[in-house]
Amino acid sequence: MTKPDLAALIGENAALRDILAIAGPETTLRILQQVGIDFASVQTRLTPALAACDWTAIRAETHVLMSVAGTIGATRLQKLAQDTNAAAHARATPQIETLAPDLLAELAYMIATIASHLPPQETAG
Amino acid sequence: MTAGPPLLLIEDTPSLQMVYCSVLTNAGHAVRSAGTAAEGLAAFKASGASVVLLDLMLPDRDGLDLMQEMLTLRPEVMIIVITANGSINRAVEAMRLGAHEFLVKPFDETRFLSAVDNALAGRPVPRRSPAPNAGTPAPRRSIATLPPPVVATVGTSFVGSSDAMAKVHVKIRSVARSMATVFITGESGTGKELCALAVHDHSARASGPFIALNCGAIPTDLLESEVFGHVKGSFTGAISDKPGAAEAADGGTLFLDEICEMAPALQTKLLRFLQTSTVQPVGATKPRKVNVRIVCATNQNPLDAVRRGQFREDLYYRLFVVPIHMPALRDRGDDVIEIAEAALMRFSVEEGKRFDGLSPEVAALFRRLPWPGNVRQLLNVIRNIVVMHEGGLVTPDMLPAIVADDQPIAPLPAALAPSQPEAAAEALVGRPLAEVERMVIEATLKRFDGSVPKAARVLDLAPSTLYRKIDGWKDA
Repeated sequence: MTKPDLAALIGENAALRDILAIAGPETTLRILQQVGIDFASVQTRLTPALAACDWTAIRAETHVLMSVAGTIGATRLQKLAQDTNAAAHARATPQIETLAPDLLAELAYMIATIASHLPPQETAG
Repeated sequence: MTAGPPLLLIEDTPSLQMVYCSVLTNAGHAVRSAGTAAEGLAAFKASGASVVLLDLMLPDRDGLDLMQEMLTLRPEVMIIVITANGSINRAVEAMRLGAHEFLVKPFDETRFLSAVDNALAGRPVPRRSPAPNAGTPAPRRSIATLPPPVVATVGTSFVGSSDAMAKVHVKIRSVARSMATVFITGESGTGKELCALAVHDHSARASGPFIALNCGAIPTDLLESEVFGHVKGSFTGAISDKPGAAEAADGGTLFLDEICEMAPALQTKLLRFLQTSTVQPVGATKPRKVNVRIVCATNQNPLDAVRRGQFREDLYYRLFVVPIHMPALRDRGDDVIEIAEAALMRFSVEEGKRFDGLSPEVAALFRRLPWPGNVRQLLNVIRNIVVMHEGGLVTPDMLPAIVADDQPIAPLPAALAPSQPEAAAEALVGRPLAEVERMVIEATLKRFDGSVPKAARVLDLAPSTLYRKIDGWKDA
């Protein structure tokens, strides 16, 4: 079983590092795979929600995103999700329009990064 | 290690569910997990879980709603709510509705496991042994056994049926069973410590110790040792190990009075203590885990203390979860009569005398007086009457001079209540706000012959706030 390169993936500040170190490589792979799946699900629902300014959906999806991103130490994605969540609460369309491209790009980057750190058969998708 | 039923985790995001399960399992806990509210409720009914970790945002039902149903089914269950940053208001609302603790995602493993351990330890347990003698105030029990929650009074030590106090009683009952930190505010003499004791006595940890510490009454250099303890030889005079108040309160409640008087260095340590639930006595090399609920109080406006830089903002937000404001006696309507009559009876018994109550004139005067010292002042007046007289009906001539001197406040004079407030304000335009404030305060003090309590009342400020402002001008 391929051991994912956690240092490259989750950075220096990840709270997940210790958890995964204890959990062992098998659980680590399952968790990373699930994170990839969860990110992909968010991406599927968040993209149209941002385009349509569907506030409820944006709030729900960014809520998931900031929690998961925060847990794995993806701080940039977490911050973008938090800002977007706050903008959705304020129904601030101009802010959403500004944040959406960065948020979706960072989300896509994280999905690709996770996929690249998993063995081919484990890749989320 | 969980010996009883498994912990129940209700979290709809699969990756987070996996992470939390992994952490809990590695720490030796048995965990049952659910991804929806419906699944979670079914598991709750089937598993008998005593601790539930509940995500507030679920796909099929509002998390708060689910929490309330679980608390109705099993009031003793400890629910730790989980929410994301940005939804903290919901977490605070959950605490008010009876949650044991809240975690804001993302959180680290230590904080997560600490919350679970505290919840497990906080389950109703057999009566504890007294806490070790810490040199701090001995663990105290309530003055009276508290009535069931439906009764609208909180023990015989809390007298008064005014609307203002009814609200306080409701808040005490609703907050008592959670682990939420309670922040009690109110003028001196309003009963903040009694309120803290009532919170403790209504809680699941009522059989544990209640330790009270006045942060303003202990020299700064001794405060750390008093709160966190010390080990033998850690400083001159430390001739033996001494547990601090935080350790003495293990399993119970630590009441920190005059919290805004706490030295900044100690505030940092208190924050650390709140985050980790561990104490490190002065001179000790290893921290010790304790399970303590914090109730704190101040007669200041805590937010003012934050603005002045006297009190750490992060500590304020950590402590100010459930505020309870104790109303001033002058705002409690006929409570002043109820308290006076109850005290008259009690002190009469103690002094071996017989009094027949308050005369209508005394009752009317008591209703009008400002009572700047609040209930404490009233009790002193009644004690004075009982000691100095043989008995009978309490009449105006039996009142101590201090009451006669404390005349009711007259209505605001025309000079201070201009008929054209816009014109008065217009005259002040161009002056700094601080200067306007000072002018108004000084004019009010002058009107009341320099009486700070009377001026404070007119200005709707605590006298202590006014004293601080005046002191500040002296320094300027």
